Amino acid sequence: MALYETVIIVRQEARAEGVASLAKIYSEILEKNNGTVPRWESWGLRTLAFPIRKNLKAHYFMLCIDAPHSAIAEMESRLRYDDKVLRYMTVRVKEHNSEDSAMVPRRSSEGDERGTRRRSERDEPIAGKSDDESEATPTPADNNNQSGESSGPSEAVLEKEQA
Amino acid sequence: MSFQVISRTQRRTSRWHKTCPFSKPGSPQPDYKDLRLLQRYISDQGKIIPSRISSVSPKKQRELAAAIKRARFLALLPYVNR
Repeated sequence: MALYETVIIVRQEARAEGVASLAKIYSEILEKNNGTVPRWESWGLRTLAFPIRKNLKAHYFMLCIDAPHSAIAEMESRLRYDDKVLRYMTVRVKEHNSEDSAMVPRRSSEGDERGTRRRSERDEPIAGKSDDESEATPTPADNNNQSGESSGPSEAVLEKEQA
Repeated sequence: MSFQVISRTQRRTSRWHKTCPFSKPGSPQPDYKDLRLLQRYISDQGKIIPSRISSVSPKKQRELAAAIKRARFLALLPYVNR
């Protein structure tokens, strides 16, 4: 059988346990079709680099799969019609990593470092760009960013909301 | 000034002192999940940095470009930064 990795992006409304149950549902679909899921990992709630169907944040998880193609096709056909799933991507891999990938959030530094670690400088312009269609962009969370060019429009949004 | 004859390859090798950061055994491989690695190879605008600047070998540059495009599809990296 072939080894795959499937990354699935789920709407923000789904809680952490909802993500776990989705992972279980899709693992069972694979197992019914002669596949196995030796491991899965949750990447947690992440800010998207650009809005997907007006969602700015989403839960990510990845299934490490050992299954025939027919099982993958079955799982993908289900994923296509699942409204909780924003996007998915299956990749064929040569081997599975036994430990967590770099995407799994570190438990100790999760709360305080989340905004500054990887994405803050990338998110800011997108938040500024999308403020014409939805005013509820998470700009207050990005206040620590020092780039003056893109913090201007976000402050304007805040003032508009207060007025 | 002396008119030393420098062949094309010589000039190139002297300028290209850096080697591919992915080609040594044990060096990290391009992977769509390794954002910290990929972010070194995209510009401020979010474009993939050409290999003539980053000195990534042609084979690894193809792998790197594929990894960046996968990460973009998953909204881990932006298509454009404005």
